Amino acid sequence: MKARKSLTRFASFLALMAAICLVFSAAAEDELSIAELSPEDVEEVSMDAPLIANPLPIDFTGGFAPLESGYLGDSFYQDPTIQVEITYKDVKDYIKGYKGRDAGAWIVDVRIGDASQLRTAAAEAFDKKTTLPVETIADRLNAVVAFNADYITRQDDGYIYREGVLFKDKLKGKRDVLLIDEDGDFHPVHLPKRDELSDTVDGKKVLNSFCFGPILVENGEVLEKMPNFTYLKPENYYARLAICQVGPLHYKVILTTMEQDYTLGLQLKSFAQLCKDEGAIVAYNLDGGYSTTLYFHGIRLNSQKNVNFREVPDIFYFASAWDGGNAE
Amino acid sequence: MSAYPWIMTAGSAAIFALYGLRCAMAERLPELRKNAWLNALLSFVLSAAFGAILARIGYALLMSELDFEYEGIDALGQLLEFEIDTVSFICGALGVVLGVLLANRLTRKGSVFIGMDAFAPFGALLAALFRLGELFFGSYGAGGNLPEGSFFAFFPFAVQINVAGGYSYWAWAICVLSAFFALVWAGIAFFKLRSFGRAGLSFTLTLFFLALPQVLCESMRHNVSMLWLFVHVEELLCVLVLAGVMLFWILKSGGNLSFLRRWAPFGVLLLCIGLLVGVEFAIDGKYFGLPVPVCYGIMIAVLAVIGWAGVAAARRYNEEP
Repeated sequence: MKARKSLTRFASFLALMAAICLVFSAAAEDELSIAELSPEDVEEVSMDAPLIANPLPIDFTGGFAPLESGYLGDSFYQDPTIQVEITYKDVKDYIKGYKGRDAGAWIVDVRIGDASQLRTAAAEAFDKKTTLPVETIADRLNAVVAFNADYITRQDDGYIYREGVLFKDKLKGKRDVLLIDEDGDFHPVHLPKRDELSDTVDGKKVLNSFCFGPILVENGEVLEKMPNFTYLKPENYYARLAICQVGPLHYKVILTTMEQDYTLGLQLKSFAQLCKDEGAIVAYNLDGGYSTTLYFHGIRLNSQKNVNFREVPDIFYFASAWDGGNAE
Repeated sequence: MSAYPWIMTAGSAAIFALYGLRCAMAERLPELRKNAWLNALLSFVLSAAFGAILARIGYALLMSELDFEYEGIDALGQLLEFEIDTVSFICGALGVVLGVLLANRLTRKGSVFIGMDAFAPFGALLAALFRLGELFFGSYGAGGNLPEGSFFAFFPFAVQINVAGGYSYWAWAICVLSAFFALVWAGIAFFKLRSFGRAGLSFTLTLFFLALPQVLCESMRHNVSMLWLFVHVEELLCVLVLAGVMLFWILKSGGNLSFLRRWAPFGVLLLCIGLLVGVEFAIDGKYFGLPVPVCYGIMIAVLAVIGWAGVAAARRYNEEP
């Protein structure tokens, strides 16, 4: 009798838990659908149109909504202030071991008319550790193309300078830092310590910083020595993401993919070489692994076979500064 | 925000007054009636002090917050800076337990567990109060975002989070879920566990069943102040509380139990902890390709098994030696 009573209680408890689970499942269902887009869908489009400089405010508001007519195919966007071209490249040759395994990289080539169009945003704020899916943050800010950034609000040390505001300086001399000035130029800084960085660099105001690293390419050359302090070990074949400057207001964001063991990522050195080969003058490594995200035109392009995606505390994105309505 | 400390202080005082009242009216337990109001007052003062101190120090130690290398001894000054995201809830809760324990030791003779058992439902009420208090801090008690136009985008299921740049979104109100679990247990502890079994059983069961659902809640929180890379430290602390309480039950179990029978619940707990680790990896998207709701379904099932193992261990503890 006593055992039956306990069993009934236990079954009721399980039923209650299952009901709660069902409620969560129903509500989360919408988040799970992912549009299919294979790397073969991407097309090649030239990028040589002159761009208009129309500064966006330096704050945490977003850009202007991209023009729907600006999307040409599945991999190109253009309006008078920004051009984005996305290509998928076979990078098998960059793999030292594991011969015969596939490896691919997304190369996102971006030109902007003004430095303010390279923007950063937090899931909630840069002094909070809240995480959200990259697409949620990107959509609210009208991002043309968005990426995960450096996961920095969830790190205890580090340096956070975003959209002209310093949020944290707890550097311990263990991480390379990338500063981006008001002209959109990259300034890599090797292992700075607390109070060594200021709000200007080479006489220009700093707009944004990244603190993950290491610096992969400097002055167009792959660095021989790279500090190893992240959990993404250099020798492992991880999904990786780097932001590269290839010219004035001209950038490439390069992501290696790792789709649940179907393809391999790259080792850090090989990844740096890939960045160099893509024309990087400066390349800086950002958070990778399961955080790696490329979001374009409502679709997460990388790692589409994954069911769950890691939510992130911050993103960087390129925004349109073209107000089509006013122009007309 | 400014109302927060007043509401928490007034709420806590009311809860400790109820605890005093319960002790003063305990007709069948004269040892509880003795110094009932003094005990309640001392419990309130000591638990407030220990709760605050342990919550702050626990955070500072676990997160290696103090930077002595740069600030020298001045780094200790940071301990006086109380923010919602620089305190550990679980360490604070253990501080409250320590305060009540000490008050019982100072004001009563005999086993402190008699007083702790009487405090159990009020401890659960305190936990609910402080979880609900997280509503003052926007995203701090919130979970993942709800899809646009979700049916559940209203309080108490969700809270609206204001974001830098003038945007907002709805997120699951995990602190309300935490408070709900604590309130349910407060009811069970008050109405069902009154004068229940061996001394210490109500108190330890309360600790166990407050920590158990918190494993789920801590996992679902998105603005997590205590992180070791991707590990939610407070979730880990909840698991440690579960393990600690179960060890207490096992070591103090009565009867001539065989080794296997005595330690089986702990073995189940260890196995379940392993499964929980796997579920956390799955939620992060690393292995198994399971959707997040399925992962949480598995987590709930695993927690139910831990609960069952806990009840088994508690039963054996209840058999007087």
